[in-house]
Amino acid sequence: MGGLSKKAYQIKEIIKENTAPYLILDAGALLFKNERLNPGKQSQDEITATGIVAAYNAMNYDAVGISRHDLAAGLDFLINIRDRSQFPWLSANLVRISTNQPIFESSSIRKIGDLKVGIIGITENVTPGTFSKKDDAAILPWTQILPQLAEDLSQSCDMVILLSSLSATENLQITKELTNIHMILQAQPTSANLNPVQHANTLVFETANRGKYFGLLRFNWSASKAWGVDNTDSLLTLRQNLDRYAWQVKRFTSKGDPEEIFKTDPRRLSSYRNLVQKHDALADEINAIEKDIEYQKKKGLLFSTFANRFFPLDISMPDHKEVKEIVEETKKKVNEAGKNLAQNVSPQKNSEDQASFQSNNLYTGWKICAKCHDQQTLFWQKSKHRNAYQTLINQQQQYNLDCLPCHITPAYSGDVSNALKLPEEFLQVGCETCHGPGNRHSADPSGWPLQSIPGEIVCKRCHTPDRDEAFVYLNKMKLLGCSQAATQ
Amino acid sequence: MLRTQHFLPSLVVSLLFVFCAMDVAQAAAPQEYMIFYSNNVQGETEPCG
Repeated sequence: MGGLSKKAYQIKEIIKENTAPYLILDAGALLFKNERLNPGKQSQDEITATGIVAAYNAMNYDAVGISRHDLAAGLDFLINIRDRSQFPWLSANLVRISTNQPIFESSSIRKIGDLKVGIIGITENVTPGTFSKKDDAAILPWTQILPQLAEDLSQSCDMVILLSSLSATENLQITKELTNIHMILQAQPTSANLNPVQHANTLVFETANRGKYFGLLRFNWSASKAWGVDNTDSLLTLRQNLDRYAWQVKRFTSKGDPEEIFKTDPRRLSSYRNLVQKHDALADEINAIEKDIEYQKKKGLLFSTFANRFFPLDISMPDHKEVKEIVEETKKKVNEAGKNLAQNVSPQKNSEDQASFQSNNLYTGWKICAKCHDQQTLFWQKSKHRNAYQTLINQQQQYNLDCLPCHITPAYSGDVSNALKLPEEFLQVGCETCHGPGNRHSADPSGWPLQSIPGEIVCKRCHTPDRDEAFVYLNKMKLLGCSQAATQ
Repeated sequence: MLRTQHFLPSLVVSLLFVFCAMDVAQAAAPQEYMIFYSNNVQGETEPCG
């Protein structure tokens, strides 16, 4: 999980240390996790989205692409967000049905140093129901819009960049069909960073999701407008290999002509011949590369080259002061909104969701568990799970519905705002979080046995790699052995 | 006096030469550009705690 203020700080420091002109871009899926918002936490999600835009304003972003995730709170919300943004939101194919005209900017031209860069946004298709009739909006296929737009921009710009939330397969198709697009920054949810890969004359790249990293692509752009590989390093490696082969050949030839010496030893003769063959092939390869570089230099056809690096965003990193203040203010507003919401939520005893709460009292609370499982309760009371909710109070985030579900006893799969008004005995990661709802078990222990050792999947509902990278199920189970405590 | 008259134009010419040489060197070096990029931030501001 990343941090906007960490990213802002890192970018500021890199800019300070470099004189190279730069752009700051985001391919989209910026505002929301999902294409549909949980109805209980829509207001909090909208506050967070507004805070993110304020942070991006402070970071001087140059352009952001629109993905279907950015439309999760509705088209009007995104238009409102656009009006608060000091950077363009780009989508060439999100159009008004009645006019066939783009609702947002299709493209933006930025000048960095002497380089004129055209940036286009393309949005992936949305699921039915995303737009209301009143929205009068649709996503057109990229094939209808992009070829002409890329052609126009390539006439007036030195370089064309596409911010795309299309699938990787579609982006690959674009690289084949539209060679005048030089970079595609993807917005496809992925847990891994994707280093720039060259397809035809387009670099395709993206960072891992949920803001855990940002990427920095350094490049020079030659008149050839063609990406190439800087062969200097690989040439060095090839020359070292050639030296190695030459040394091995020399060992064979040091005592005379191997063809004569090994006449009666076909195995050694074959090894010698293989070696000579490899040596000569490599020498030819090196020769060809050297000639190629020489030719390019003479003709001024040097390729454009690039180098990429991903920067992980860690909680221990320093913060950008202004962005940190925006994030803190946003978190405060989110908590406040949750607090107001809590006043309108009827008190819940426990629930998997609202429906099951009404029909079954599934959870019973740790105090009832303690009546029979006193040793386990003593063990649990010393654990971090006992204070999970308190950590949210300490950070004044106890009404933040993004955080709350992992700091209380019941699991919520429906409207999470039901979690806002729980009795005290559920305000911790309790016995039933790991062992399952225990109300029936408390009435009939042998008839309703619970899982004594929770499965890995239970832990990983909250200890996801995003939140707890170091979590190893077997190691943690050794530390958290309530059941062993009972037998001691 | 005579020396100063000779010295000043020479200095100006030398400086012009140095600046021109620097310009040429700068033009010969490929210009580097940077793109900072992100995607799929997905509503993340920072960890819960």
